[in-house]
Amino acid sequence: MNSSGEGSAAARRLRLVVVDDHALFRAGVRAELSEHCDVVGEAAEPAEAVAVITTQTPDVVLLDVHLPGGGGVAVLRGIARMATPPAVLALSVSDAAEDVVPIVRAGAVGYVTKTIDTAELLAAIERVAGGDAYFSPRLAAFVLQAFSAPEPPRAENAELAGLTAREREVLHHLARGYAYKQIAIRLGISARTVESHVGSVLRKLQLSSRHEVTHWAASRGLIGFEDDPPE
Amino acid sequence: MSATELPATVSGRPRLPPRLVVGLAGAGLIAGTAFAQAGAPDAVAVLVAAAGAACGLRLLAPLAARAVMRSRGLVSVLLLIAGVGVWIEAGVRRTEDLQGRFVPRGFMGGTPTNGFVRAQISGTAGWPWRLGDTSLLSLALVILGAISGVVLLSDAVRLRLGLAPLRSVPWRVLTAPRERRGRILAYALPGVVLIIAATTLGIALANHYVVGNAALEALVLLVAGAAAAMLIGSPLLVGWWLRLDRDKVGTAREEERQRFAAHLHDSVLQTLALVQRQAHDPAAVMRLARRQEHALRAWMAGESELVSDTLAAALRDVVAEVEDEYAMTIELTAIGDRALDPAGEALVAAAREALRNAGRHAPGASVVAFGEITATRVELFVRDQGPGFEPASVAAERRGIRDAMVGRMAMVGGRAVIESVPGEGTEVALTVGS
Repeated sequence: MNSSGEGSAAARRLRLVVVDDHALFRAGVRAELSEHCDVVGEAAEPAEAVAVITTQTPDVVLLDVHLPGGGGVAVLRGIARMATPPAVLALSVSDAAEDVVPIVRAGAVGYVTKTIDTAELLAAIERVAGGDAYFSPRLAAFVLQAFSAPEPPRAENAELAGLTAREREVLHHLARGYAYKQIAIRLGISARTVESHVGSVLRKLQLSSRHEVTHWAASRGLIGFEDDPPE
Repeated sequence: MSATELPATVSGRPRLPPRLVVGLAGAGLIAGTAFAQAGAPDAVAVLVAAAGAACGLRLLAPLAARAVMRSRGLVSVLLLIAGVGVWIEAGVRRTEDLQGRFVPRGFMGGTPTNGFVRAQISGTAGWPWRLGDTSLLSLALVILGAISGVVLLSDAVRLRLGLAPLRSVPWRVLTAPRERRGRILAYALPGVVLIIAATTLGIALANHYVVGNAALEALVLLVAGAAAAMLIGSPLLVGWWLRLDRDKVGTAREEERQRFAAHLHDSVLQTLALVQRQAHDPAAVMRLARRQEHALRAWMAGESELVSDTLAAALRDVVAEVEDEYAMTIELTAIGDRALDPAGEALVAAAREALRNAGRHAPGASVVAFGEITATRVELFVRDQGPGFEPASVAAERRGIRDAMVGRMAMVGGRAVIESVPGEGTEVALTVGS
């Protein structure tokens, strides 16, 4: 909707739900963001989270990857049935691709690490609230890795499985820490085009067949990576 | 030749083909019989037959185990019948064919030469496989009866001790219980009966040779005593082992917990205490938290991560080092990994320079390091969002650092490219490989 992000924050305060099993972390996020957003709900585990999100219908959900009882992926599955599911921004202390890629595949439109500072977190929240994807450098790196499977994709869904050269370039710049505007200048395209490339990468990641991702995981010894760790 | 043999040995444990085993078994039995008929020395015939039987058992035992699995009650009845059959067989032969007697002399009066059941199974019976004075069949049945007894008894013991659910080996499968546990007596009683029958018969068969020979009598007594002690003692022994195992597992778990607690105490709790003390100094708290995070991640990743023998691990170490040095946060993502070679070491050293530059010239700015590592090529990008600079107007001392980076990479056939736009930040790209 908006390309800059700041406009919507000024016009209307965003409504957030924070899902994390650490009460201290939830309190911290609430305190940090209270100036700019309304935290309308909190939850510590998936069933509770689905209930809160369904009744509150927030704009954005901040979702921890690791939750007792199914993890963040369970929450995404639970709210997929909503008429207009909110944008989900995944948060985690994890720095492992096998934790991050599944949650994006399950429907999260962005991923940030918990060490992110407040300004960046706000920017990410506003971006996903505006309907865009937010790729932190780390997520961009992981997604690049996910798409660089050793075998070429099969012909029938090559357009789904593979990234175009431009998309790869955009992702590569994101992984190196460039902002959308800087990428646009460097590649000589508009910021809107950068956003649409990122969006299409996200779609490809979510639509790519389970077989390919499984193959990708198997080739890196990550079999079973979609199972959530117990507690 | 070795090349062609390799796959066969690698593919798995070599196994005897069943047909070969059956063939060996048959050949052994036939040879044993033939030797016996031809009047060969008993020892040779028995050895050959035993070898054949062992081979056959190797094949038949699993089949038998599977059959036993299906109906264990029936098997105890069959074993009982077999045991009684041995007894009757011996008795029949005593009265009809043999010149021996089957009288427990010690209890029935007469002239008690010793306490054994006295039986002399001898003579020229109609049995084809006569081995001196002993019938081979009788001997085999005695052994079978004794083994069956031990199986049934041990099953009862195992049921009692709760060891039965372990289903890892055929022996355990053979004696694993059904759902209910109330059948201990049904296993134990036939077992005891079979062992007593087998022992009596064994003594009876051996008696002929033993009686009158004081040394042999003592030996038999000794063996019998040892066997009895084993039968009585084995449940106790098994129980003791079991308890020992449980204790060991418990001890191991406790040791693991203590190790864990000790580590947390030395690291996380220590840091938390320091954080509480220095709560007034946000920079110090940040530094402590970061250092602890690195240490904890390394510990969770395992001991191997503590040694920087791969490129990604070495990069992580450098990042942690510079983060501490400049109290800054660097987000490193490395995809792929490879062993640390001289080129990799040069790249790590150049990366340290690049990160330090970022720390020095872009304090407080976010720094992102992104590495793509493959077997043939490494690319590392270090980017800060600091003030940047005009590359054309670089001060001399800064050029020196730059040259150090570029020179270091050039030495290993790599490249270092520094790109900066005032107000947009700086990026150092380090590359080795084609």
